[in-house]
This record gives sequence, structure tokens and C-alpha cells, in this order.
Amino acid sequence: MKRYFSSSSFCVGFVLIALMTGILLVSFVWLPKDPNEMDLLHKLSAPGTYGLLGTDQFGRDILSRAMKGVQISFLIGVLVVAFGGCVGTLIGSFSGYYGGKVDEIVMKLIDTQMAFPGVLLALMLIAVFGNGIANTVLALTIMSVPRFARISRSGFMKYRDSDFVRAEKIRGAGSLRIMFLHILPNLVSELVATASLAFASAVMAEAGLSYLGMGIQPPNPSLGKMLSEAQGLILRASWYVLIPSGIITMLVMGFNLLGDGIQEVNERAS
Amino acid sequence: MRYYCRKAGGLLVTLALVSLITFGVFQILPGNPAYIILGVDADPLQLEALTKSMGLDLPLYQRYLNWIQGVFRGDLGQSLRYQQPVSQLIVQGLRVTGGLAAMTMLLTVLIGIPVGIWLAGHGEKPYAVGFSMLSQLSLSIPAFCMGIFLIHIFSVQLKWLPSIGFVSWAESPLGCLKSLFLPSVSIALGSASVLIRYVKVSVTNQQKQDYVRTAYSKGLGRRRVMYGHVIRNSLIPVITILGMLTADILGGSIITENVFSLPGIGRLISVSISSRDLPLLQGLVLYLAVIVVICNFAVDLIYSVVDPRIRLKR
Repeated sequence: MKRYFSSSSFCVGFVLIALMTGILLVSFVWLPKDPNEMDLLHKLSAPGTYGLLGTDQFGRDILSRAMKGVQISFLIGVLVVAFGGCVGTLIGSFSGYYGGKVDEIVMKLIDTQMAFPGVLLALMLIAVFGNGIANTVLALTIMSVPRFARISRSGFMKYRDSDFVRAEKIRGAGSLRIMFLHILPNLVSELVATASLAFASAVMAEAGLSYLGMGIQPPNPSLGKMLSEAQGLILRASWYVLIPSGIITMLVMGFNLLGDGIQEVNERAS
Repeated sequence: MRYYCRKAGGLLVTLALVSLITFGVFQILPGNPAYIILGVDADPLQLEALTKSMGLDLPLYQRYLNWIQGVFRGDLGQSLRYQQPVSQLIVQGLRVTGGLAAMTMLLTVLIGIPVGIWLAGHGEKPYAVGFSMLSQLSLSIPAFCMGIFLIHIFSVQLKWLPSIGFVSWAESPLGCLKSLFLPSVSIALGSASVLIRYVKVSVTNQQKQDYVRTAYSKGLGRRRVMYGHVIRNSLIPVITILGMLTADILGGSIITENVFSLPGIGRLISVSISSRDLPLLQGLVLYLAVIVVICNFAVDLIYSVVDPRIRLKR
């Protein structure tokens, strides 16, 4: 753990995520106001005048809504990384360890999936299944699977012919035992880096979908949704747009830097 | 030659899979599309007639074959919302999105390659690290956030460029470039950051190679070594990244077009989803995916021409 702090990317990312996690934890126990409570007498008040970060067009407290939005972003990120990570790693491990025909088919499918640019696949799935948190998670999970599958596949391919695997085979260890007790632990740091980068893309994609009105549905506050509301009000309240976009950027950048930092240190070590 | 045959075979398989996925996903949809067109309280006879005329009573594989035949004829069906052929709408949208994507790619290359080379030459100096952080920042700001900021700064505050809307090339070439400039900048900043990183790594790796030491020891200057040897070699792998960025740029334009109200493919996608115009969405998804696949194929070909080692391997 300690060696990772030698990378400046990791340090900056760590600070950003610590900050965001702090906001997340506080939001579970305390919110300044009810995020959905409207107060039409205090519409679009500037930061500091009414509420710490001001109010939106319905007089709702922006700080509370932003904190709630951070919760949603983390929820989406954690679920997508957990599901996508498990499924992707599982696919990649079998594909990389056994190789052959199965591997070829899996790689072809992954290549095909990569043909659907960015949020397009997510949008298509949302059009079919409908929007909402569960379907957003499903769509973004499918988007993140190839990433994990590629990384774990190349890892398993690298180690499958190594001496320690051969030694285990001679000792009579089963394939599953070798794969998940002996090879997988070697890939943990690479997978953590991938998870961090996938978390960042999930947060970014969720913001994009919600911005288009196809992700999280109101009245649930989502950073992307707040941004699209703020865009229309930019002439009357230019500070409003800065709050959701700042938080999205910090979250995405934090996880990107963390992932990059881990990769950097891994590469240096190898 | 065998290399090209294998590649072409791979291309066909990928295209077939893409079409199967695009077709298959829309079959999961519950309910009869004829219902959606006629409404819930439709006359049963009318419903049956429409179901038949749309071919919805046929088995699944038959419908796929019919659809794919239509695709080859350039007939992607009729848009429910616009009451126009889908292919016609796509061609209209492509004028905008194609221009946007081309301009974004141009900006990405113009920013990414020189900056990447420059950063590789300056290694771990503090300002280079600062610059890396800056490119990390522009990678992390979503393109649509960047778009909103750019509109606010350059069109609302400074009034240099138009904020939203599209001027066609035929109307006024300068106006067209102006209307596409901000959207393409907001996408290109992110993709240029990706490119910068790859160029930097690639150049740094090449600088460690033996031939560089040889070149220096035979008395070549730094400039000659860099431009004559290192950069030429290090830009070869970068071609692959450009192929991958095509997908990113098209994906980015889906959302960014909505920020700038550009009447392109991205706008059509969001309209088709919100109005549940599934034939249109299906056509758009297929079209974009096919473009990405073909771009990547073209990149592979270019790569093998530039670097024959790839072709001869295995």
C-alpha cells in the first residue's frame, strides 16, 4: 500500500476520493435539509444567502441535493464495478486460462461489444428496458464487463504456463484451485486499478445518461440531472452549474488518477 | 494475402454479430410494436392487418432475414415519429455528425501528437507533471460539462461564437465551421488527453531502444534522432489509438450534440428514445456500430501497410 504513495497521480486521486467519501459518509447521517423540499419563496438564491450552496429553481437546497447525488453516483459506481468486475473477471479467467476455441469466441464477442461506442449500448438497453436506477446499473455493467475480461484474460494467459502453476499441477491441484487461489491473487492490483477506472467511467456515463433524462429519474437527485437543470438557468444563476459539474469532475478525476497511479506503480515494479 | 483474408473474415463475423445484437436487443421488448403505433384501444382487425403487413407474425429468424435484406437495400424501415424513411434521417444527421467527428478528430490529432511528443522530451520536470495533471483534468470533465462551460464563456460572455444550433455548409462554410467549433473542442479535449498519454508513453519507450543509442553514437544531433527515427517509429502504434478514439468521439458526440442542439445522429438518438421510435433507434445503433467496426478495420489495414511486421507475424 505504502509504495503507491510514491506516485503523484495516486496521491492526488487518493485525496480527491477521501474528500468525496467524506461527503458520502456525512450524507448518510446528516443532510442540511430535505433534498426534495421545495421553498418557492427562496428560488435560485446565491450561495451563502440561503443555504450554504444556494437553492435551485424550486427553492430546493443545492447542497443537500448534491450530497444525495453523490450517494447515487457512488451507488451506481459500486454496483457497476461489483457486478461488472465479477462477471468480467470470471469470463476473462476461463478464457485466458483455457484458451482455444472458447477464448476465440469470447474475444470476438468482446470486440463486437466494443463496436458500440460509449453510452450507445447503455442508451439502447435503457430504451428497451426502461430507465431507473436498476436498469442504469444493468446497462453500465454490460458496458464495463469487457474491460475486466480483457485485463484478467491477459493476466491468466501470462501466468498459466508459469512455474508455480506447473508446480501446483504436479502437486495435483485442480484447475479451479489453481485459477482462483494461485493465479487470481497475482492480479489483484491490476484488477483494482481497472475497477478504479471503471468506477470513473460508470460515474461519467451515469451523469451523461441522467443529463439526457434517461438515467436516474426525478425526484431522485442525480448530478447529471442537476447539470441539465442548471444549464437552462446559466444566465440567471451561473454558480449553480459549477456545483454538479465540479463534483462529477472531482469524482471522475479522483478515480482515474487512483487507477493510473496503481498501474504506474505496478509497471515500475514489474 | 492470408493476413488480409483473415482480417476480412473477422470483419464479416463482427458485422454479423453487430447486426444480430442490434436486432436481438429490440426483440426483448415486451408487447407488439403494432400496438404502439395504433394505440391501446385499436381495432383487432386493424391490428391484425398491421401485424401482418409489418411481418410481425413471422418466425424470429425470418424477421431477422427480412430486416437484414432491407439493410442491404438501404431500407431501415419507417420512423414512427418523423414519418420518414430511417435511412433518409440518418443521411441528414450524418452531415452534422460526420462534420463534427471529422473536426474533433482533426483537433485531437493537432493537440495530442505535438503535446505528447513535447511531454515525452521533458520527463519528470515539474511543469511536465503539472501539464500531465492538466490533461488528466480535461479527461475527467465530461464532454457535456465542458460544452456548457464553453458555451458560457465563448458565446454568452465573450460573444465570439454562436452558442447553439447548426448552420449547414451550403448556407455558409464559415458559419458551419463556427457552429461546429465549440462542440468539437469540448469532445476533443478529452480524446486529446488520451492521445497525449499514448504518444508520450510510445515516444518514451522508443527513446530507450538500442537504435537510438546507435544513432547518437554515429554523431546525429538530437533533432535528427528525434524527428528522423524516434517519432517515426513511435507514431505507428498511435494509429491504433486513433481507431479506438473514433468510437469514443462518436459516443461523445451523442451527448454533446444535445448540449449544443445540433441536429445530428446524437440528437436523433435521444429523440428516438424519448418518443419510443424504435425503428429509428435500431437503424441509428446499427449504423454507428458499423461505422466503428469499419473504422477499426481500416486502421488495422493501415497499420499493416505501415508496419509489415504485423502482417507477417504468425
